[in-house]
Amino acid sequence: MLTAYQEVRDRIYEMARRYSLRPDWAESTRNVRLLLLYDASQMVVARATVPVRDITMAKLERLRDDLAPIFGKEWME
Amino acid sequence: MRLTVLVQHEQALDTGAWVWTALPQGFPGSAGGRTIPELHDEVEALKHFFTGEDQETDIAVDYIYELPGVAPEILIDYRHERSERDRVASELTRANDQLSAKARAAASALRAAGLSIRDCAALMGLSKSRFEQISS
Repeated sequence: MLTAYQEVRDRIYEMARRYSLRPDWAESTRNVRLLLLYDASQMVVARATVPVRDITMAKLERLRDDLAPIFGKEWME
Repeated sequence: MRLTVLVQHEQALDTGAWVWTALPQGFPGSAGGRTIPELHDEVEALKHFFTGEDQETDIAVDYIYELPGVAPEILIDYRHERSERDRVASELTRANDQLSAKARAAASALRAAGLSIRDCAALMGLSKSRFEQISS
């Protein structure tokens, strides 16, 4: 599973392109960035937090599970 | 609305630091902090994002801590007892306010009836100086 922030971010961009979704970063805190995914009609289809610092397995698994309905279960592999 | 957050203590993969992770139950996202107060601040900042609610929505957060080696009941029992203490303390304050009002009324009635301060104090079960405080 991807564990580095840059890898995860790039995978999100890649998957978003594949599913014709637009990623948008709502804001950032010290530890996470807030991600919104929009479909072609500009509806938010998913929201998630992407850890940038002090990355833990629990946070990564939560991110994987939050976006699995959109990107599929294996999207972070 | 209420938001329940599960809190875990784990080692970060990138920094190696032991950190706190908050996982909202039933909502997407996560938050974290190197200390519990830092985690609380981040959850407060992100709770509307987690739930998808407007910023105006009042969201109370319930924390459930998973602490290895510490039974969850220890904190739950402590919090329960503390809220029970706060409830009783609040009732005591209210009862004291009511008693003060009754004491002033009684003191006033006794003095109006022409009783001496010493007799008034005795009837009310107070010291003379305490009676004087109440009736002043």
